Amino acid sequence: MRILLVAVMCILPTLASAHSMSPGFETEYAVSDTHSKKYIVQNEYPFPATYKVEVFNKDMTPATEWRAKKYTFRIKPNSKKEINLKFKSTETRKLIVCSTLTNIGYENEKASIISRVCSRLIINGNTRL
Amino acid sequence: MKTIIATTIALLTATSVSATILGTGTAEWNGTSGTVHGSADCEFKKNDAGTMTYDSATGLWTVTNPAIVVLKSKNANNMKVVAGTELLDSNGNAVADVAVDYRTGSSVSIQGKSDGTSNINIAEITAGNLKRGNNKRTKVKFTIDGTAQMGVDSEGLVDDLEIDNNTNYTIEHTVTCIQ
Repeated sequence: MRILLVAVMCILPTLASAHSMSPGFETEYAVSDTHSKKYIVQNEYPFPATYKVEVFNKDMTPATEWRAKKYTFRIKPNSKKEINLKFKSTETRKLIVCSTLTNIGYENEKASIISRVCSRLIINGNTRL
Repeated sequence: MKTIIATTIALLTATSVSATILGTGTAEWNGTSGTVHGSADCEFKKNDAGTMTYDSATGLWTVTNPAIVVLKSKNANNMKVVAGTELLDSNGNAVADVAVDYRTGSSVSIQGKSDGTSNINIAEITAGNLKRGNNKRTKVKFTIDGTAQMGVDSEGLVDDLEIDNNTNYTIEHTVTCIQ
């Protein structure tokens, strides 16, 4: 029985993924003045977690001229959520889109170690001929 | 006679070879690995908060159990830990300024990329040159240790007026992975 238990412990993964976001770096071509982009944030903590979405310029200063339906979102344990963003795309933009952990657990406690996953995004602006 | 001897040797040799083959027979388990490295380029795999203790005489918070953050990354080249500058109560409200110093006890472990680099500065820990060219991932473990000094007032006294006795406080650390 003890051997079986050790074997089972060896087979089971010791760590689950905690926080990730996809896609990663992408370059896109805008076909209108507003460009839509979807990201998926995955919460694989065994408890709920709250994340906020942030968009920065290449130099990590806060970007303007973008919007989301919701800027913070709570994700159930081992679940994922879609974030739909809209960017003004009249010119080429180099952006960094981040999902940042803010609160954790069923009591929604403030996280002390804040994981932040960021994806680079280049939008080639819509140019009218 | 020669024929008998030759036949005997041949039989013995064949028997010996046969015995050898049977003795070293091998079996294999074959299988494909499936998706190991996934679609996400930055994955936080572990995020364990640390603990700290306070010396009210000096205004110094000292880590007693470091925070541990483990990431696996495929296309990310840089990661960074940045210290918060405020002591927060359980509601997330700032109660005092603090100056974090990571330089005592903190470490960065990089696996999978032998020429990966790391730097441990006063209030920032970085890992760089992490991207591998073969679509495999790099594992980075941050051990976040050190101290945090409370601010002082105009008289040079520790600014601890808003600190309660026997109460839990938090200093945030933001770990960023750009993919």
